Amino acid sequence: MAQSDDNMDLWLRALSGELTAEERLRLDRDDPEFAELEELAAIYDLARTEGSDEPLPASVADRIRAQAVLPSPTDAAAPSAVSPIQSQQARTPAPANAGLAWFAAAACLIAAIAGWWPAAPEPIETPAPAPTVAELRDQFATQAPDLVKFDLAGTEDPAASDETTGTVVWSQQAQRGFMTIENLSVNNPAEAQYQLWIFDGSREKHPVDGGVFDITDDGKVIVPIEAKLPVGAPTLFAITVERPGGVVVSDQGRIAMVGKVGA
Amino acid sequence: MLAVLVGVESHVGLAPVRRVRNNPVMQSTLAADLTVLERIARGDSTAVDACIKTYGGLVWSIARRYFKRQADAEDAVQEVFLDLWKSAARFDRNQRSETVFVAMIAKRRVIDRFRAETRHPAAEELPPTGIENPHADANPEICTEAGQIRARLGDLRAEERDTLDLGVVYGYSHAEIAKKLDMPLGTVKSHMRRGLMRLKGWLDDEPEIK
Repeated sequence: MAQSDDNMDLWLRALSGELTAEERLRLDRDDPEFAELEELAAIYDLARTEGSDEPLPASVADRIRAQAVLPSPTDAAAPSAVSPIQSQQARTPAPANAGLAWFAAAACLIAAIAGWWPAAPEPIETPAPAPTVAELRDQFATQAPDLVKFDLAGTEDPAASDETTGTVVWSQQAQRGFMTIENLSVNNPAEAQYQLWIFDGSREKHPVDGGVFDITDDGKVIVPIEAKLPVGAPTLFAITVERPGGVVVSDQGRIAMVGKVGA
Repeated sequence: MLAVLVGVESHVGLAPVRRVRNNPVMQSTLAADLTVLERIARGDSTAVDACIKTYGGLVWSIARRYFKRQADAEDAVQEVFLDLWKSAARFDRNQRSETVFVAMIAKRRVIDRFRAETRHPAAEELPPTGIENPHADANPEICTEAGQIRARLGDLRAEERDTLDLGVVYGYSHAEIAKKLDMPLGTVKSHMRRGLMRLKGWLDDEPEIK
């Protein structure tokens, strides 16, 4: 892998999707070494996130299945050729004008029926429904070996009230957790969103971004915590009100809830 | 280069093996030892379910890190799988593991889509974040290379790990990382670069960068 600054800068920008389509096309076409870096990035991603995969929703899996388009078996040597999946009963050889082509197609069909296609359709497994967030939290709370639990309290921010309460369950080992929040104001996602910040005693600068979320119901809301960086020594969890999509660094102008770890 | 270290990933026994009757020759050449993508490349429609089952969680989780709106993540995942069907024939088990191949395609597709859209879409309900890993359950030895890196993550410098996490895993731009970590832009790039070279050294089993 070449290591020139120019190349590396281009590659790093490509990894985070900062290249124009034209630049990216040129990179893919002219710089085979970039594939190595892209591979390395994918491996790092897998290493950092393994164990935290969410199950694919069954409805999405169904749509993918229904839209699947695979290469035709006879086109295995021609990767670009694709054909829609059809039921075995519905699958027919492509029409041809010449008798020879008909003969070849018929021969292929017979060969396929005799040897390639399974005699009976494979049973399709129905994916189990995805667990609810409450189920995931409960499961997490019973399985995490180092679970800490503490309360969140509303501040004087208009989004909170005397009735605003919350609890956090957090596993330092798993680097994840859940917040259960009650009676925080419902936000309009087009105008503002809530963002969690984890103050980390091992970090001198900004708190760790714990993810953006919405309060969509006046009642109880359970929010998974997704720390964007490893948290070394969590000391305080704070929820701020930010612009839609959240911010990279909060000015902490509006703090709606806080909770001290261990309190 | 990396391929030297990449072991051939075995999916035998994980993906359902097609039942081929009355043709022992075909049975030995088609059903044996094929990975999910190799079956897809041969037009084996029964491999679609296996592919979704094996890699659905991985692709979905990548999309969810970028798209907070469920509908956006769903669209991105469908696009990734469409690309996978088309790209399956390019998978070469001697070059890289199948999991890494899928992750590369998924990340590229998702990032491209993410950048093409607004960075701050209106958010809806956050779906649950799973704590189980069905992907790992399906194949405990899912990715040897990732295991190599994971075993040495503690050896990465904190700044390298932070910049790689934000840039590679969560897709922040360099400017955003600089702001988030309160670092000059050039320093962010240097940390990322050194971190990546260190990872590469580990995979290549070369002497570590000091």
